[in-house]
Amino acid sequence: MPRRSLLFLFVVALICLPVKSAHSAKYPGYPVQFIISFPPGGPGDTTIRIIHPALQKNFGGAIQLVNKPGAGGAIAYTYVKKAKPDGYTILSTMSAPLTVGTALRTLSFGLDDYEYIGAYAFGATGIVSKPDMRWKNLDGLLAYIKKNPGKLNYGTSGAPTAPYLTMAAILAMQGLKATPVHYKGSGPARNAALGGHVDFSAGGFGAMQALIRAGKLVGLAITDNARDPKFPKIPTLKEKGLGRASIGLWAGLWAPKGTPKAVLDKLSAALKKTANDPAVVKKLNKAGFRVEFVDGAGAKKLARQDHETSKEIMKAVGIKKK
Amino acid sequence: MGDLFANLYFGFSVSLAPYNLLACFMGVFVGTAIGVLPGLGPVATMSLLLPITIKMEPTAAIIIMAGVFYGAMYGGSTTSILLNLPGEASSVVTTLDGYQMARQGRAGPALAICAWGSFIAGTLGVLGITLMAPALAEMAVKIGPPELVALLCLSFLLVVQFSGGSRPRAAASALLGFLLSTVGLDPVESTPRYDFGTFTLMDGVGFAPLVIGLFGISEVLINLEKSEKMEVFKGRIKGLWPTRQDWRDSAPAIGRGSVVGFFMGILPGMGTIVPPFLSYSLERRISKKPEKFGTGVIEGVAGPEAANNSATAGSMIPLLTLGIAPSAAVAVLTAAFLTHGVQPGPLLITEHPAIFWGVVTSMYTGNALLLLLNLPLVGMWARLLTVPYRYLWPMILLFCGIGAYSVSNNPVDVLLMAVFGLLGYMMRKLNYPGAPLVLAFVLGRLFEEKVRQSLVISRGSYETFIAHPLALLAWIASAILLLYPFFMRGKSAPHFPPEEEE
Repeated sequence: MPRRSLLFLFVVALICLPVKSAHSAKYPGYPVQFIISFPPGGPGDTTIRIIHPALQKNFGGAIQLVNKPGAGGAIAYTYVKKAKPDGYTILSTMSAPLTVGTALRTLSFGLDDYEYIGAYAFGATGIVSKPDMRWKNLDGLLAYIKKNPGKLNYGTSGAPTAPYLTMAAILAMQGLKATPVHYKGSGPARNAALGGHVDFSAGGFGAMQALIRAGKLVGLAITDNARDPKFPKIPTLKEKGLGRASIGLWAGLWAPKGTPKAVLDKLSAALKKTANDPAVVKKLNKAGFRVEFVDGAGAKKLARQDHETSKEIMKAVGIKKK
Repeated sequence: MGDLFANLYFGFSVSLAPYNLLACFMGVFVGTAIGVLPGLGPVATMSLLLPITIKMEPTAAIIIMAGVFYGAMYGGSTTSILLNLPGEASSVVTTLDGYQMARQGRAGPALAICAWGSFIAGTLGVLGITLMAPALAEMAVKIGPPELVALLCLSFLLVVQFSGGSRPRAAASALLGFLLSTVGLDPVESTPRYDFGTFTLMDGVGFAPLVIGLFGISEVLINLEKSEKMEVFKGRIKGLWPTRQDWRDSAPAIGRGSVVGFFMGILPGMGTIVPPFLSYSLERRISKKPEKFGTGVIEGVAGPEAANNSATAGSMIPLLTLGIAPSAAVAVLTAAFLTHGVQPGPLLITEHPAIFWGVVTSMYTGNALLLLLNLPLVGMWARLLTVPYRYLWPMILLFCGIGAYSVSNNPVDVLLMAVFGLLGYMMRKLNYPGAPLVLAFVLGRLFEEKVRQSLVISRGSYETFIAHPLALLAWIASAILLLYPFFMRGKSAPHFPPEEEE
């Protein structure tokens, strides 16, 4: 009899154990899962993996990185939207599915379904071509397209991506015509320009940097607010009066709607400290990102802005929401 | 040339440093282990390792990751041979003759020839990187969509010929593979197709659930319906090591497989999956006894296993010289470079010579370590077959489930695996081969993407497909292949292997 009651107690203890720690006042009581909407090696994966060790230290708790790729990020976004808002499931990814994706498609999530923790790494769209083409800069390229309407092809990182929208917007704003050839991602789009299969390409700037430095590709323009200090010769679209074609590409953290403010603040503070760590900044720069901490409210504003720009571009270019 | 030796000497001085040597050993050890486990592939493992390696020296971290990548190709053949369950997607072809050898009690020689073939091909592949990496990478970039279309067609025709059984059945199976490859967002306009409004199917059918279901699950189902005391083979294990005759048969196959794998590995999209298929059909095509293929001939194991290993070396070339990832596994490797603040690309060799030459030379060492690691295991693996099947199959099912789930951490993939398991079971009952389906599935997506890109670039003109010399050459070769049986009629028309008796 005592043996049986002992067993009973043991079972009760086992059942209570995880529940108790979940409700304990201390956060994080057990590892926090960061859901990444990209496969390993994608841009949104690389950024979080670079900051992961420092972020974990500043956060003071274990952070597990879990890739849930698929459907252009929709699987991870939906998963986190439906997750319990207890601070143990956090979305760590790039802004594009939320800002551009929801403009292009009817999806099961929207800008207001999440709490914004902050943004930390900013990428840009880069427009590149081979050095031996008939133009040397963006003005030259646009002038050439004007003289040869509809003759040129350009590679894009894919139909539902910001670089395509940006390039299409530039052409629409100038009343020019060129044919987009969609590739699967920035790497293949860049390779198409490198191999001379298309005349120029628009894609994530990070993917282009190694080849620009080696002189195998020329950077014609980037979309960021300011010139990249590593590539001071490449102008921004803003300088060219084409700033309205810029859509931000940034990495950030999101939590399910209703996550306690204390949790958001703790994560935001850890992210801020991490983004100010010179070693982290250096690594992110090398991987092709500009580092700047933007708090939750700021990130929400950025997202709204990118979303509106995407919708404007779609209207101007004549792309319909699917 | 003197430069090359100086570079190699420098490279070995880096890669043989105790810390890096240990990293290399760890990498190939983990690679072999996950290669053996079906489903758990190098992509998933390398991404799990990324956060661990972040605290290491960049060179050691990349050596470890690369070790997992090519190490997996060694282990991948093990379950293909023993259980008819491909440990890696690149070992699908190895099941055809490898499993038959195991059933005849020759699992030992099959496993040993895999280890040796992988070693030889891996070493030749690294030699290829050392000697001609930059030139080859430039060439690979020049191959555009129209040329790829022609090359894909040629590959497909080459491969369609090998599968056992009737040609119409192989064609039907391939057709199903093509159809399955159209599920998901279309590759150009990103319009969802056949996804039934679900997110899981929006990216198309996953490769892991398809292969694991079609081969692994269906094999278990087939075996379970046989008698309770089922074992993979009855009788004694006949010798653990390849005989002199085995060597005479496999050596040329290993050589040819190495070359095929290396050059195919450089091309975008081919990865390590297509080269073994090509090597197998090549061996069958030039063999004096093509009718024996599929009944357990050692060339059919040696060639493809060599091909998938040299393909890993080939696919490293675009990464190391241009920063381009031709396959998912190499994309993770790219991430490993980036997380350490090193940008792979044309400047890698001048900016980080220690990393470039250290990693390249570590691949020589790694392949040697893999041989030492795998040969002693042959005996152990071969004895695994004496374990009664009633203990084995629950384990196999478990690992299949883990494998299907772990690729994108999506439970629906496990369900898909079960569905494909049933499909595979029915196909085997009705004698439809599964390999053409897998190949068509892989090639189908790439084919559609490249055809449509070609036509957008050419403004809809079909001339583009023959406008490029390389493409034209591939078309002519395809035509010859198609017409070849008609010319050879009456002489020694190729026979197909007898259908597998149940």
